[in-house]
Amino acid sequence: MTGTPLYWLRRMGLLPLMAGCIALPPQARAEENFDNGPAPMTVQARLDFSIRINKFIFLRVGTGGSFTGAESGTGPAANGTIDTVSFTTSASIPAVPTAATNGVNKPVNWSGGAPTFTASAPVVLPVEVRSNAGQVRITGQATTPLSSGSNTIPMTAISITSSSAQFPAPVVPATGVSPAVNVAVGGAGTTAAPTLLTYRTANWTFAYTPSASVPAGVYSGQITFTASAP
Amino acid sequence: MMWPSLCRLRLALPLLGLVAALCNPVAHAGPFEIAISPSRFELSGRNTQRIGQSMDIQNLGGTATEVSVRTIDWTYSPEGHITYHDALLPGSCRPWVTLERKLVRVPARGKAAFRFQVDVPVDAQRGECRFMLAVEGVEPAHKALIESGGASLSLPVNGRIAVAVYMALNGAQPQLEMRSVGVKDIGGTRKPVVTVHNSGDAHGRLDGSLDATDGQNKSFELVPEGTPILPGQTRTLPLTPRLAGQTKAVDPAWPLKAQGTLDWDRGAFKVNADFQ
Repeated sequence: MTGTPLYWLRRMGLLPLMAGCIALPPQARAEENFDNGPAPMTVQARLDFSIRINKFIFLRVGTGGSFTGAESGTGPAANGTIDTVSFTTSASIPAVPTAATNGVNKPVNWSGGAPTFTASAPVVLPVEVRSNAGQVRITGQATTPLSSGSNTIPMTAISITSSSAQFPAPVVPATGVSPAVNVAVGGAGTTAAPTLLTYRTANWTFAYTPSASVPAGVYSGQITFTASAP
Repeated sequence: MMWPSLCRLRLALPLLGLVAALCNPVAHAGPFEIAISPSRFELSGRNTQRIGQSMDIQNLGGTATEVSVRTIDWTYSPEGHITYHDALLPGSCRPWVTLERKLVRVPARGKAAFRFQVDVPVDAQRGECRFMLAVEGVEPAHKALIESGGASLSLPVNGRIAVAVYMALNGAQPQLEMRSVGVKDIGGTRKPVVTVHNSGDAHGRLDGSLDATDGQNKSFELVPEGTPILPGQTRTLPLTPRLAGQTKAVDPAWPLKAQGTLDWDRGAFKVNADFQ
């Protein structure tokens, strides 16, 4: 085996890599001190620390599995339910009023007046925001309007109320993006920096007030809630 | 004839699995439980420069999920109203952005890194490029409507996190000027405010706090809202009373006195004011 170490590094293609390594700054440099006396001898060495904490934002929409507690200590139970807000309207025929029965050949008394409709119970949706990035804003947008074929129910027929004044629900307009609502900074466990840290949970209640003038059908749409800390 | 039957079964089982997977489009749908870090990027760049960045998408849920990532434009009014735009706004720099991919699958209780890069064109002017990365759950189960049986109105909800990206081009900088201090009714609550103008060509923010006392000589801090002041904007920002070590809101007795320094990116404002 002949040749210098430099020769073999070049032959193996490692020379550029070695050069790169040498050019790189060292990852850490230790401080060394010594004391030769006389007694008593003391030596100090300093160690610099650098910790980087990135800003983050967390949004939960729905009954998730990440959260088992609330500010009060009793939050929504963890599960993997797919969240769809569903309402069932049922017709009531005057003049008694008498609820109509599904099926054919089901006789009921009817005065001939227009039926009225009542919606099922409101639907509750748990939501949560955590962040260390200051003010978090939430907007809502009907990404798909409530429609059944060519018939549409305006999204304004759906009301959303929040259980928490610190985490209000946006008012979703028929089209476009809602005005943003602020999630109040602070919350449980944010004492260290209550103007930067946010930990809020709420239950948003969706309610639908049916109108007699809406054509029958299965109406479906979609709302997207957006969180940002611009 | 035992072997041919088994063979048919062995062939049929994967097919059945495939059919089941195709008939179950909601298999990966679920609650939106996503954390993004960092929640915003504040970068700088120059002509012809390529700037690559990465963000972590973390799924806190107990099941794997898929999210889509795309760019959107946004506007921010002096009143603090944010609006998102799918369509390109005039002057948008979104065409400069390349995303690693459109869909990201994030494992349960896990995270995925997502990379994007901005290629600043040779003719880019000095100023600030702003866009957002919208991270949203892939369409939640539309099939749930059909399966719910009897529902006459169904409204799936979806979550989205919009990550702001600011890029100061060719040395763009904020230049904040404090116009006034005062008191304003915000959302039905009387609040001390500062009015700040940005005459620069990049966004700026206020930081820091003021030492304050109220009419009952109670001491606390006044902290400015840290939302962005975009170039050319004049914004009136509330000062929120805060008591160190407490998370509950402070309800000061008027009038208030405050002094101290409010910082911004390239300077600070000395404040010594009475809020009546």
